[in-house]
Amino acid sequence: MPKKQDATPDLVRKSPLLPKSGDFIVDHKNLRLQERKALSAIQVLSFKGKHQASAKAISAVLGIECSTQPGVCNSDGKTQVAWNGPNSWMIVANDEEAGRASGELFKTLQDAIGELAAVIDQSHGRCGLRLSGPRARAVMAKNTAVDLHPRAFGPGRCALTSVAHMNATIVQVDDAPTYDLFVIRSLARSFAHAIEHACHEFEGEQ
Amino acid sequence: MSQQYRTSNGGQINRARSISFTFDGKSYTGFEGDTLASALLANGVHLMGRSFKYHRPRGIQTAGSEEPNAIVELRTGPRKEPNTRATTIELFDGLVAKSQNRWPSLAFDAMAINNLFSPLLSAGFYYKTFMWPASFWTNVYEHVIRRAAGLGTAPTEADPDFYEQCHEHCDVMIVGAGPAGLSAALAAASTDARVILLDEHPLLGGSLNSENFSIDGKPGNEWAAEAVAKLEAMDNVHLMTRTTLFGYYDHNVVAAIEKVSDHLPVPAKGHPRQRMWTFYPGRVILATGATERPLVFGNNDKPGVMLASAARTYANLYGVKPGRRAVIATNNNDAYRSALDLHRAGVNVVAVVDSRQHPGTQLVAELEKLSIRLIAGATVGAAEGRQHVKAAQIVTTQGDTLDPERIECDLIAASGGWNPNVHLHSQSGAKPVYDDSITSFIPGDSRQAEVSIGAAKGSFSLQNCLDQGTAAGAEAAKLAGFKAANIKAASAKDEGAYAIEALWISPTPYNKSFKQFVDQQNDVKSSDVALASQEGYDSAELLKRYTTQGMATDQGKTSNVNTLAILACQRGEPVPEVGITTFRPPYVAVAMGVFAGHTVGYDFMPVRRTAIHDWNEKQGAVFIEAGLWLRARYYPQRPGDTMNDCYIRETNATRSNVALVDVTSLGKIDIQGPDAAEFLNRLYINNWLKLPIGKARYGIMLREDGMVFDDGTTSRLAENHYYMTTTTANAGPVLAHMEQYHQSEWPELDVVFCSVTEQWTGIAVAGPNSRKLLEKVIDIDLSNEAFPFMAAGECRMNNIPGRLFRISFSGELAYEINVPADYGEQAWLELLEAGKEMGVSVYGTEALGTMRIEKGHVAGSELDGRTTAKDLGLEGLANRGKHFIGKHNSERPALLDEGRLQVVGLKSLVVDRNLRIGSQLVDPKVKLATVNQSQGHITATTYSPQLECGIALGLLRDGASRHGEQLDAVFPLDDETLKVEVCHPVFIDPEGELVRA
Repeated sequence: MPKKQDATPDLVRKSPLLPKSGDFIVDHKNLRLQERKALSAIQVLSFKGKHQASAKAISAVLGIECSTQPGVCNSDGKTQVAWNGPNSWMIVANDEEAGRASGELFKTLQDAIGELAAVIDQSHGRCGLRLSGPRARAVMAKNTAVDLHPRAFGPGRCALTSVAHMNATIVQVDDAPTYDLFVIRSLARSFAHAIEHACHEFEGEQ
Repeated sequence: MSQQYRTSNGGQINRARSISFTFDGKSYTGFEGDTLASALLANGVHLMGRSFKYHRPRGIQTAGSEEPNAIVELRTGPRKEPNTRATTIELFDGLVAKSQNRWPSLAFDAMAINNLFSPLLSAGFYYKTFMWPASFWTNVYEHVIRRAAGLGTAPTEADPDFYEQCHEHCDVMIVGAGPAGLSAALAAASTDARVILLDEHPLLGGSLNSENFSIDGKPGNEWAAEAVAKLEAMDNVHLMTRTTLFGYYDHNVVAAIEKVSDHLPVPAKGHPRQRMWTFYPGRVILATGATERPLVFGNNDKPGVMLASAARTYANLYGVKPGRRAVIATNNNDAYRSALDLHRAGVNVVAVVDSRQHPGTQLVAELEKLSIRLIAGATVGAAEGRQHVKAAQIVTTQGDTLDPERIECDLIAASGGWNPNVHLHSQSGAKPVYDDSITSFIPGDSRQAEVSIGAAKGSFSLQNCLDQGTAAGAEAAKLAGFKAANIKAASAKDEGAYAIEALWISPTPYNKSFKQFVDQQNDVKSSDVALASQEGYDSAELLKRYTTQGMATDQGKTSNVNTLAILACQRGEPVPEVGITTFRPPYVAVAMGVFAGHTVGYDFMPVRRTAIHDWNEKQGAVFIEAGLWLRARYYPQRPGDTMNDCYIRETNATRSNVALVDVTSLGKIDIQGPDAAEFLNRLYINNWLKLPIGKARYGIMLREDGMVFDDGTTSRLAENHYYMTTTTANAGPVLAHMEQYHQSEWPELDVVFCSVTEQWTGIAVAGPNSRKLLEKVIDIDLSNEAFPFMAAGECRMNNIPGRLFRISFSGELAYEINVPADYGEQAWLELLEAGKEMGVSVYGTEALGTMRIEKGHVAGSELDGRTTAKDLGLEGLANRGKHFIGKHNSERPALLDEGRLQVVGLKSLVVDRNLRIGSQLVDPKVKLATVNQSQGHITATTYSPQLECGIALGLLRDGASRHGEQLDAVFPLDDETLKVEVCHPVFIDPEGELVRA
């Protein structure tokens, strides 16, 4: 028989970055590295022949253009729709910033495009880090071979590549420059350590 | 007196800031801007080390990274670095350097006796001498040779500094910031192209800093400083100093080393010692300059013998007199600069010895003006002196008399001509060609997007360098897609012709035999080249290996062309017929640390942690690496608990009560689409079309060749939605396997899939009380009727959403619950809390392994890539009426034959003795002598708390029909033999009643 306890503990999402609760943050004059918490990360894989229709449906339901072009990530400032492969997107948002309840983004997409594509919740499987500041590109140059020069990359662009020898997604957010880095949760600490290490050189800058 | 060889003014050093350092324990001072070599020369120190083979005294030959001799041990303790070039070490306060390859001291070196035995140490000496007996090769010869020959010693402590790697892209890369490189950078940068200009020196300008040139009416170094300032102000230009391009690879990828902190006592906080750069330039301009080659005369390795250009570099750039009385020996006009510059610096230039009969009249007049004696048609035949040059013996090049004229001097500045630095061009895959007009090799046809300019191309006039630089910079930017540059080259004062006449080897005074060195770092003489040629090693590549010429850390920068030319003379052929050896990376010696970058120690490999990792760590769990994952292996409870204590306790607790294990690392793949069932049906050997929703099934996948690839359970969550699990090791490979088949074999199938391993934390709850525990927290009916063995479905555990599967790896009544990973630790804690009153515990991978062996579940050690489903006793699962991957090949006759290794259980018949993995199974009547007598081997072992004896799984020839036999398990490495009994691989609950309870 189903048994439900009367008082059940609240759900608290635990960051993969820290043994205890708190904020992971590096804050220098020319650099800031922090975790993007309360992340929804929804992977969409369109079914056969439904790619364009899926893109249209995503654009319609989120009000953000969903591009079928490789390396493009459109955003309304809160929710990012990043190209994630030939038939795939990763749709990412901080639930609090986007004003959604936990799990709501997944449900919205599932309801809207469930017939056109597989909608897969990866929210707990990805760790998001935001690296920002005048030295951000120099830090990235230590960890990835992708050309992030403003002439080759910029806001609205994303890359699925190797960062610090780990598979990651880079999304450029703005010209600060600000980059969002997404990595699988199990590697979060090794990944953050590598990025943090690359920041040390600029620590003393005034 | 300190710095007695310093000029009273001049040089680009900061005389206001003096720097103290020690060499071989003695203290000296130099100035900021000095190299270790220039500072030692300023103090009159020439003797720097002993040579590789003959332990001859050696001094400073050059003023750059081509230095073969002045190689020292830099710093002490963990920062000690052997074999560094004194000519490139920037002086810093407190620098400590030591000479190498000498004992007991540099001035008196016991091994110098090698010099007397040199006839025994000829070319190919190793190959001829250390032939027999073979037993001496490693035990005797190796040790003797290692001690006698060689350079510095490696540090014994870990390097406290770190290294890192960096990447950068650009449109135009310019290598070398001399007159040609700077001109190219100015032209390319003016088009707005992204430009990287790098140079190995701390000061940009190349020869403009070491020569007395004049450009646009200004001194050369001032023009260079202005050009650098202009480039620095442009944001499309990246200027890099102390950076040496050492490798040119395919697709125009090049690599460089930046010596970030080598000029400092210790790196600044957060800064690496060195940084390796990988560049991806659109076009590369090689303005790498040229290297002067020595003249090959007797005792040309004596301290006090120096390249002519190096002598004037010390005077011009560092304000150092490299000697007091100088003889200049040359075969070209360029070395006359040395006579003039050294004279200006206050060195008494006693003679210029020119091997040409008719030196240019203008130069003759200039020397006359300064009353410097010119001896034409003659050269230095040999240098005199023990640890330093005392005199030069001058012979005529006509060879009419070998009675030399003796000129007393303490410096012989010699020039055999200039070799364009074609190394990077050669590395790029191109073939340099011989140019008779400069008697050296120049770049051939380009194979990649690169071009050589200036001295690197064999154009030695300053105006040519400026013109070619400007044109090449504009052209490269144009080719990279930028608008043509409109920029004019600077103009330089005419420097006159170069006018070289080759002199490859000097006549010997008195017809005496002198050692004439070609490769000073590896102690290779002209006579070794002759001998190798006589013995038949007369091709460029063979000669190099036989004599070791060019194989030292300087890669023969000063010796290659001389050696090839002498070989050509031996063969009686022109130089181009002999050819040129191929240059390979690295251009300069590069420390291994920089290749590792920061991926050492903690960062050697990334670590994958589960959501329960922190809890495991707090419990003091002992971890095991499973790929990149760290998994809890066992949980010590008391001090002194051994692994055996732990896994036996954990196994007993599971089998008698209930326990949790973290199974997050298993691969998980989400599969969706109308053709998902058909896709699975082709991947697995068993049937998938009729699996009901809410059910899990165990499946086996084969490789194309019919061998078992992986196993696991897949559950049907909805009509077109499946959830596959794989082994930890094969999580990646199975997904790749699926991608490959879907993309290239069955693109028509409407199915999509991706890894969701990271989304879910997996917790197995196993043991007879597992249902009782879960019923307290799970919101669905767990009765046998509602949720039977192999059921699967969604649930909530307290507040946590999850997926529940009734599957068992332990053989007990068991469930596996998956929850979103950020709730993983919470779920784990809630399960422990709920099970507290019934005494729930946890177990690690060791107990997990014990229980799977007891239950006879095959795993990685049995799925070794050589076993078929039949070998593993799983053929019953296969539906041979359908198609699946590996079906055809699994039916090959040899895979169905008798005599194949089949999985069996094994029980140790020796009390208290566990079996060993890898033991060979043999008939007790024969002794294991060869592998042919082995009938199989043990794949997995454990002590079974259930059976109270050592048990194992193994692969045994025709094993399925041999239950009950007794065999020997032999472990030859330890000379151990144990009696075992063959049995069914399922040791406990063969009917599977427990899992269905």
